[in-house]
Amino acid sequence: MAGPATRYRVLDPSAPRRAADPLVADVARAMLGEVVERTPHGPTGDLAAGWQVTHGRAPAAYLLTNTATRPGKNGPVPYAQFVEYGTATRGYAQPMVGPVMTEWRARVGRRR
Amino acid sequence: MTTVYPPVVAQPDAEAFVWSVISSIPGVTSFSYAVVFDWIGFNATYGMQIDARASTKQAARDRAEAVRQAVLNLPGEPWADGVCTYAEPVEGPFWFPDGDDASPRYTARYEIHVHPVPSGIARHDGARDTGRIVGKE
Repeated sequence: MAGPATRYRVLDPSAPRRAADPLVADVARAMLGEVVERTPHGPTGDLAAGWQVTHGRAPAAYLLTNTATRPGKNGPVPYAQFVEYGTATRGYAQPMVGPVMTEWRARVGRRR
Repeated sequence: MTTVYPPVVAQPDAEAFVWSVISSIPGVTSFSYAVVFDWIGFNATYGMQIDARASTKQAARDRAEAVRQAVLNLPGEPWADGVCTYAEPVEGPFWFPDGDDASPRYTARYEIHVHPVPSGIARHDGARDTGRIVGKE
């Protein structure tokens, strides 16, 4: 039996995101560690050393990016996508991010 | 106290199932980059990358779209060894620049959720169906 309607007024719309922010930060840092662990270490080490987590523009938003930061080399690692997805000439890929994403989707995703 | 473990469930070959569906589309390759099980080992999630190549960018894109439709239809495909419960694109299809000397490629990644058919559990190892007694403490 339906009761009387209740009205709520949201006073702080971003409160849920702020509350979730530290939890999301923990997940982002955990993912970072797993991605670094999976990243192949080439002659320069740029790719393996370049992973970082930065805070996004909104609460509870974090970015996992790869940027080489050693002296004389500062910017995106151009071959990162070919390691992740493979190339035409080298038929194999060494996915670093994909497996970690799959694992975390299964662990904390909407299906559990 | 007797320790009883649940039956070991033999998983069907989801990669072979996907390939049997998409291999008729020319220029397509696939590989699995992750397999994740739930806690009981029954449901599995396969992360699969499927590339579509062709002589032109538009043709590669058309093939990638054909792959996408085939993958999303996997739960409706007959499969004697298992059940595909859900298939979802998680990346792409997007154009992947391989360089000027390579055929245009579109890449997509999917997560495909499968489990064995219930009758298959008995067929694989009937002795373990009611639980496997492995020792006493």
